[in-house]
Amino acid sequence: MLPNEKKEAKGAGVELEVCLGGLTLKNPVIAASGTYGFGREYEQYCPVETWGGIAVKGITPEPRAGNPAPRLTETPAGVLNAVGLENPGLEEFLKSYLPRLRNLPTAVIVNISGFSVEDYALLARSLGREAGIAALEVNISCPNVRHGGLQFGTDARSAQEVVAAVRRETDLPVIAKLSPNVTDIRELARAVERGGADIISLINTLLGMSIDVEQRRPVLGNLFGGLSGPAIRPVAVRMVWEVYQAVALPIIGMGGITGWQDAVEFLLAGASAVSIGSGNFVNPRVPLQVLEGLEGYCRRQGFSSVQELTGLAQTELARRTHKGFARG
Amino acid sequence: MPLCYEEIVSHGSLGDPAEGLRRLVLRGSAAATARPGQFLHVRVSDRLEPLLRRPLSIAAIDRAREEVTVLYRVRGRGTEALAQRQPGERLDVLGPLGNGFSLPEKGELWLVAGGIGIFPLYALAQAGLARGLEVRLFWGGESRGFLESAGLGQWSDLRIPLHLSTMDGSLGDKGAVTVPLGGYLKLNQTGPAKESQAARRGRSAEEARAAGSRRSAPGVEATEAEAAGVEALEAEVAGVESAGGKRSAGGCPAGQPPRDLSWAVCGPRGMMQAVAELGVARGFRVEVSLEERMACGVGACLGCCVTVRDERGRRSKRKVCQDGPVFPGREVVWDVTE
Repeated sequence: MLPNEKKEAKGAGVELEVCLGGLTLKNPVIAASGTYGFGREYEQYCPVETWGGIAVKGITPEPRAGNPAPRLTETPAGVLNAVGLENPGLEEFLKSYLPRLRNLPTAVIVNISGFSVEDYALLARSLGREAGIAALEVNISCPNVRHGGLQFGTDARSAQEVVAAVRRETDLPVIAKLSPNVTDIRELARAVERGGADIISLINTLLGMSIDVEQRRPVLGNLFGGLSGPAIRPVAVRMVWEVYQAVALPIIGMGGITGWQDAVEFLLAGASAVSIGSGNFVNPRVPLQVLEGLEGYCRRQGFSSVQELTGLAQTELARRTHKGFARG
Repeated sequence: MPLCYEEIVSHGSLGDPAEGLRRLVLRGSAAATARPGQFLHVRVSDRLEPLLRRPLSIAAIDRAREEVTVLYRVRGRGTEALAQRQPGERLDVLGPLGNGFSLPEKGELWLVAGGIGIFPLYALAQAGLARGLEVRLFWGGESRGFLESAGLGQWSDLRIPLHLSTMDGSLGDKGAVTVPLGGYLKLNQTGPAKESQAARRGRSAEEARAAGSRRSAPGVEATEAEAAGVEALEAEVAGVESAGGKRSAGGCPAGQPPRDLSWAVCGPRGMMQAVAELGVARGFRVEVSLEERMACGVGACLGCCVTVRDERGRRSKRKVCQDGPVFPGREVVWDVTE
């Protein structure tokens, strides 16, 4: 008898709840920051309570108008965007957005961005006092602003410094969002672990560019943009795999998830939860389908909890290698 | 629920297949709430390439039959994939989305279109006529062949005044839509034939005064580029006048209290800018339908933001998908250089 048959025979439900470094989510599927506005935009298409959590659009201390149009363009199986952190700023966020966010039936993760270590500290201090926030996600990896953002995310020492500054200001779980635009992602992962991060999320977008051959000029107003969508998924899965080996922190994996198989891939690589970003643009029901598929997969494979999937491809590989089945 | 699967009732070429225009009729729930100027965000295929949905404006609404008509031009991967979809299949559609044109209670409605910008205006013309408005169309396109393919016959059936232009001069005035529009404005709204010499002289004087004050109108930041645009247009209009010979002076007094006149404008950005400046300077209610590259369609991703300004000149961003696609012409900042 296969293990899955045993479970089905018992009719056991699959536990979807996951715990990541002090952050408990009712399921492992999170809306990625920057793709889901402030949580209400999609409510006619997908109930907010579907999500294990929602990471809201990145907040900076001051309001930002963002980059000039065009801000996005489609690339093969991907989206290149350069929104440029348009957001209402901290004060307006606290006044007009947070009160509504608090009442959402899901974990609210506030993504923060800055242009100096002090910016991040200020945001963490202020948001850390507020009720109704489940965690802070520290964006040290935005490729679309000229100063700060990505700068902090590509230098290990700066990354550690920013995370440590946030850590000092808040008791909320701190998620460090890593940029893939580095030579060795493990170095950055170790740096944010030293800085006191509770969780690592990855990957942010890959820096890219698109040129209009008829007009002979860059498509995006900002010249460069961040690439997301299915095109980047293999890069993201590889980086989750590497970070899982490098640090002990739980991982939120993301990059091009449009179906449950993609989510499972990230979990098997080492993620404890996943985020969906561009996939929402394609199909606003994608979290429902991912959850349904995840549950079905666990049931068929004989897992009673999705948490059992985390890093399983790594342990299986180790086991096989040990037995001499694996290559190399 | 505005996420729906609309059935393709019919799908084929619109006019001459060489023009690459398509007509798509969908049956489903979208028709019940659709308004002129709104759009559907269509997933063109079940595959992940092309990835994003495509915003397509609604050209006609038939509530009784639960049908909406979408007209589009095949240009790029998305519309190429869409063109393959067959009657009987179901299309994954978000919408109707966006705000749509505002339909005035009474008075005149001038529709001003450039190229395929004509498509969303048809539904508005129908709605305007049903309300008893005086509807008039100004439309410029590449050639007679294009205009005929893009629905000139259906527009003629509406029995409204049509003012046409083509870039090659094969039908109507030669040039952009600003040529017949500018020419008609010069002829003036009430018709010069019935107007006395004295009245025309009096108005000319008024116009001269108003024109002098226009560029320093309160709340309007007249940039150099904007002023140049208006001047270019005026030169263009003057050219028509001299070529036309019989067209009189006079015209709409700039800056005067407007008649009960609304403009709905859709077309290429440069054309909309020129038209909007012309109408706004005369104090008309001008609405433009903007287009921007779009991902989510629901206001979440901020990919389609444009710059607007309020009456005090303060700039801010608006989402084309959610706050638009229709914006008051006076609010749009056309030259964003920041």
